[in-house]
Amino acid sequence: MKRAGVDTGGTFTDFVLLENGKLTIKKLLSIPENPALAVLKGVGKKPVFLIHGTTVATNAFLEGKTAKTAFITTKGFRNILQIGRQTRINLYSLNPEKAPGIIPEGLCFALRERTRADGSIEIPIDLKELKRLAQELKQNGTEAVAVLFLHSYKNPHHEKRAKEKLSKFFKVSVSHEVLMEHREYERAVATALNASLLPILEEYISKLKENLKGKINIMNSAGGYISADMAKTLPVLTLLSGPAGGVIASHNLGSLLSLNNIITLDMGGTSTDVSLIKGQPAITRTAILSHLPLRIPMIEIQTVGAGGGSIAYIDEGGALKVGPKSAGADPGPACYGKSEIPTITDALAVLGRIPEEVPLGGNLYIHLERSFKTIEKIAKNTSKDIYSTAQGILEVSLAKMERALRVVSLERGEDPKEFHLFAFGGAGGIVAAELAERMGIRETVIPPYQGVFSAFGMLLANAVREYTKSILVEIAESSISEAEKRFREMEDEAEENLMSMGIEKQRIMVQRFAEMRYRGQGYEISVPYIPDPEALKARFEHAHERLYFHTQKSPVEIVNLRLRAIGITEKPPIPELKSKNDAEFKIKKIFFKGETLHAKFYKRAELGAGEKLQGPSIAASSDGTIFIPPAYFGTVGKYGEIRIRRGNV
Amino acid sequence: MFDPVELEVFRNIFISITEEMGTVLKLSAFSPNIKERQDYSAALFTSDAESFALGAHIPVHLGAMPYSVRSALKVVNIEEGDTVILNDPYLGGTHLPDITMISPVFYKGKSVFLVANRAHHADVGGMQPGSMPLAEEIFQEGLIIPPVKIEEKSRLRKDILKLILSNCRSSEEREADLKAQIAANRKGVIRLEELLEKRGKKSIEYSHHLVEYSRVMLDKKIQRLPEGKFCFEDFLDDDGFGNKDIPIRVCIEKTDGVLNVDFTGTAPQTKGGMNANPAIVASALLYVLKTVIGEELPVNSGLLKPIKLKIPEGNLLNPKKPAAVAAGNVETSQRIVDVLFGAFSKMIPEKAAAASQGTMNNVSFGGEGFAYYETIGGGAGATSQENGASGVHTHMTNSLNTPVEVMEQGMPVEIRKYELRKSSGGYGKHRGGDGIIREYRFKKPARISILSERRRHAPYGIFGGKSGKIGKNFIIKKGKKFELPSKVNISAEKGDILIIETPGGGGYGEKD
Repeated sequence: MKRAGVDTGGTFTDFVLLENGKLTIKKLLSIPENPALAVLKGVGKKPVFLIHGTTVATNAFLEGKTAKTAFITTKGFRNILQIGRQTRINLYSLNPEKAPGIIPEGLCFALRERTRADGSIEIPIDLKELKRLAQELKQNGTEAVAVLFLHSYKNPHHEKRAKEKLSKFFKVSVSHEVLMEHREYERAVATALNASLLPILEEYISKLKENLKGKINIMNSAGGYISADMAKTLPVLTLLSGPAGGVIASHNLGSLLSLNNIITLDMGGTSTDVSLIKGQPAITRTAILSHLPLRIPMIEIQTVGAGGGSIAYIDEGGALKVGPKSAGADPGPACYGKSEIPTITDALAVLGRIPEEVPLGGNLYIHLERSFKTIEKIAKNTSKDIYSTAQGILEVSLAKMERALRVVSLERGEDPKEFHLFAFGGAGGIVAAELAERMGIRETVIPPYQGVFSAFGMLLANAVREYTKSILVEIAESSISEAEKRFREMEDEAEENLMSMGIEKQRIMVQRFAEMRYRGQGYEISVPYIPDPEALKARFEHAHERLYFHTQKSPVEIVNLRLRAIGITEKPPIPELKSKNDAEFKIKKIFFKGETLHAKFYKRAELGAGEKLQGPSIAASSDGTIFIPPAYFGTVGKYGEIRIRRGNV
Repeated sequence: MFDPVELEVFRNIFISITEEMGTVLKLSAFSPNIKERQDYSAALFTSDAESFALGAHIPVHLGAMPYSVRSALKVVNIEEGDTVILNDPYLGGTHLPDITMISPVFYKGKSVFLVANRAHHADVGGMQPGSMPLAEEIFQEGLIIPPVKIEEKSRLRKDILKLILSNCRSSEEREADLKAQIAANRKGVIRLEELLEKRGKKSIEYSHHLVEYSRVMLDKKIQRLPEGKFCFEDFLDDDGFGNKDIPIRVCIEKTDGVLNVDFTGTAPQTKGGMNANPAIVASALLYVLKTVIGEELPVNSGLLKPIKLKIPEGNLLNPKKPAAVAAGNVETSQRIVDVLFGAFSKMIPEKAAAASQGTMNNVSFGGEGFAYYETIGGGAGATSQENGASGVHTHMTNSLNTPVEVMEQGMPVEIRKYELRKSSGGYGKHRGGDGIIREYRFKKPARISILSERRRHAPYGIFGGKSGKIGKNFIIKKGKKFELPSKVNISAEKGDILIIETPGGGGYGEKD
C-alpha cells in the first residue's frame, strides 16, 4: 500500500509519498475552513497508509472553537478550573490575568461524592443527582462532558460510574483515563481540553474516513503515531501533532549519519521550534500551552516568537526589539510585496541572504527594494546605517533563538558542544551556522527536503503507546518483584494494542522507565528501569547529583512505572545523490557584520554529493535557503544534506 | 555606551539563569511551600549589591534582596566557594521564615557577581508551628540567623546546619530545603562562570548597563509625570493586640525632576508583628513603579535609583529591634502597595486601579510531626479596562496553591471546600474579582496561626466603584461556629473545621 506523510500547515499542506520504493514530494495550498480537503486531494484515490500531522486540535484549542463542554467535579470544588493554581500570568500588571478557564463557570458543576487520599470512599456518588444533571445538560445543548473527582488517580470507581451514566448522552472524558496523576488542577486541564476536543476530532476523522481508502493514523505530540480511533478518544495527545514530525525526521536522518546528539531548529513564519535529541527525542510531561500546564507526553519543543515574519521595531529607550508580533503570511513581510512591515526576512534580504532569483515556496519572488525601504526607516532611528541595522535585527533574533536553544540544552544540563544542529523550515538554514557558533556547536546539518521535512518525519514515525502505573513504594527487593509484574501487564496490553494497528509482533519494542524521587519531594526523575534495587537507586542518585548537585539522606521512592511500546515501521530509503563537484555559481554581494563581501550563490538542486562550498556562500531552493558564513564551509553529503563547519575547503 | 543588541542578549541570558536557579529549587525541595507553592525567588547582583536580573518570582522578595546582599558583604568576608545564609530582618532579611542564601562568582581572582535566592520555609522555630505567629517580639517568632557562612570553600558547614536544624520543627524537611537552596545558587554560579569564560568582562559591563538602562528609562518617565504632591492613606485593621486602625500614609511629590516618596504620617512601630522594614518598602515601591510607569523595563535596582525614599525611624515601616515582624512582609507590604497605588492614581488617573484583596491570608499550622504554611488568593481590583480577576494572588506575592490532593496525602488535614466566594468583588462599571473560600478539617490536633487583613477595612473601590467584601475567618468546634479575629493563635482538636473567606477586590466606576 502507498504510504503518505502529510503535514497540514497554515499556508501549505506538505506531502511526502512513498510508493513502490519511490519518494515524491508535493505542496498544496491549505484550506483552513476544511483542512481534510487538501489532505484528500493530495493523497489521491488509491488506498493509502496515512500518517498525518494535523492542526485540527491545535487550532480549535488556540482559537477557542472547541465543543460546548461541561465540567463535573466533587462538591466543594467546582471552581478548580477558574481558580487554577491561584496565580497570575504577568507579575507586574494593573490587570492581573489568569490562565484561561477552558470551560465557562456556568458549565462547571459539583456533585456530592468523596474519595479520600488513601482511595477509600467517604461519600458514595449520588447517581440520581447525576441523572438530574445530565437532563439539565442535555437541555442546554452540551456536547461533551469532562469529569474529575478528587483522588480518582487512586480510586477511579466514581469516575467510572459517572462515565457509564453520561456516555449515553454525551462525549465523555473522565480524568483517570486522560491523566493518571495527582494534582487536581493539572488533571482537570488535561481532561477538560480532551473533552472539548472530542467532537472536533470525531468529525474530522470521519470526514477523512468517508473519503479515504486505507488506514488513517495521526501523529501524536510525542513523535509517534496513533490510530485514528485512539486520536478520537484522546485528542489531547495530538496538540503538537505538527512540529513533532521535524524532530522525528531529524532523529532518523541523524541515525543514518551516525549522529545521535542533535538539536533541531525549525524556523517558520511566526516562530521557531527548538528541540533536543539525545539518542532519543526528549519527551516532556510538563509542557505549558497558552499558559495552561499540560502534563501529557510531548516532545520537548521550545517555541520562541522569532520567525521569518517577526516584526522589528525600536522602543523608546532606544532598544531594538524583534517579535513576538508577526506579519504572518498575509500581508507578510515587506519583501512579499503587500506591506511595509519590517521583519526578520527583510533584514535577511537587505543583508543579501535571500536571493531574488529563486521564488519562495515555488512562486513568490521577493521585492528587495521594499525591504531596503522599510529597514531604512528603522536605521534612521538608531543612527546606524541600514546594513548595521539589518545586522542588528538579525542579532536580536539570534539572541531569542539562542535562549530557546539554551532552554532545551544547557538548562537540562546538556553541553551543546556535544550536539549537532539540524536546521530546517524555510529560514532555518539562513541563521543556523551563526547560532551554532554562539552555542559552541561544531557542526550544522541542513537536511534534504528542508521545506517539507516535518511531513517527511511523519513517514518515518513509529507507532507509539505509553502506559503508566502508579505504584509509590520505597525502593527494595519486594518493590522490584511488584514492578516486574506491573511491567509485564503493561507489555501484554501494549502488544495487543499495537498488533491491532497492524504491527507485526517482531516489530514491537518496549522501554521501561522508573520515575523516582526522594520521599518528600514533589517531582520525579525518570531513569531507565533496571530490576536491581541497588543499581536502580544508584541511577536515580546519579541523575539527582547531576541535575541538583547534591543527594539527600531520605529514602528513595518509585512513584510511577512507565512503559513505552514502539511499533517500528519500515523506513523509506532516502535517495542518494550522484557525486559531483563542479556546480555552477554566481557571485553576489552580501553584508556581513559591517563588511561588504562577495558570496558564491548556488542553486541547491544542482549540487551533487561531495561538493564543497566555501563560505561566504548561499544555496537556495524553492523550499528554503542556506547561508554559509565566511570562515565556514559546507559539504554536501550523499543524501543531499549540507554539513557546515568552521574552516576552509 | 551600550550596544542595544548586546543589552537584549545579556538580559535574556541573565534572566534565564535566575529561572534555572528557581527550577532547581522547586524540583529538589521537600516542603509543599517550596515545591508546590513556589514561594521563592532568585536574583543576580553586581559586586556592589545592585540587582541586575530578577526572576519572575515573588515581588516582595525581589526589591528586598539587595539589602541581604549588602548586609552579607558588610558582615562577612565572602570568598570563592562560600555561601552566606541569613534571615535576620534587622540585618538584611524581612521576616524569619524567608531564608536567603548568597554566593559570589569569581573571575580572575575577583568577586564580580553575587547570586542569591530566598525561600519561605515552613518552619524556623519559635512559639507556633509555621513560624508565622501572632507575637509581641521577634524572639518569639523563630530562630534569627545573622549573615554567616553555611558553605565555606564549597564545603557545607555542618555545625551551622545543625544549629539551624536543632531550632526547627520538621528538621528533615528543613535540611532538604536548605540543601536545595544551596544547589540553586550553585546552578547560578556555574552558569555565570560559563558566561564569563565565553564573553569575558563584557558580561560584567552589561550587568551594569542593565541597571543604568532601567534607571535612565524610569527617570525619563518621571520627567513626564505632572508636578505636585499626591497623598493617600489607608489603614491596617489591627496588630492582634488591640491596636486598631493603624494608618499608613504616603505622599508622592515631584520636585525639580525628582520623585520623593515620603511615608511620614504612618503609625509608629506597633506591638504585634505588623512592622515592615525598609527592604519591604523597597520591594513594594519597585513593584508599583514597574506596574504603573515602567511596565516594559527590565526589573532591577536601577528602577529605585531615581526615587528619594523617606521613612522616619521607629516607624511601622522602619522599626527597631526587637519589634515583631512576621506579618510585615506579607500583610503590611500589601497595604503599602495599596497606598502607593492610591497616591499614583491621583497623579496618573488613567493608571488607577481599585484595591485588590490587600492580604495574603496566611494560614500556618502544625502538630506532632508536621508544620505547614500557606497563603490564599482573593479578588483583584477592577480597572478602567476590565473586571478584576477572581481567586488570584495579587501584588506582592504570586505563590501557587498546594493542590488539595497533595495536601491530603502529606498533611493530617482534609480540604472540605475550595471555591470562589461569589459576589465578594465590589460592584461598579467594572467589578472587583471574587475572593476564595477554603475550609480545612483537622484529622489530628493542631496549633494554628492566622495572620490576615482586610477583615475590618474593606479593599477600596475607585471612581464610584464599591469596595470588595471584607474577609472572614471562622472555626467550627463541636458543630458550633465561631468567628475568629484577623490575627490569632488558636488550637484545633481532631474534627475541628477552619474556614477562611478571603476579601474581594474593589470595583471601578459607577455602574450605569
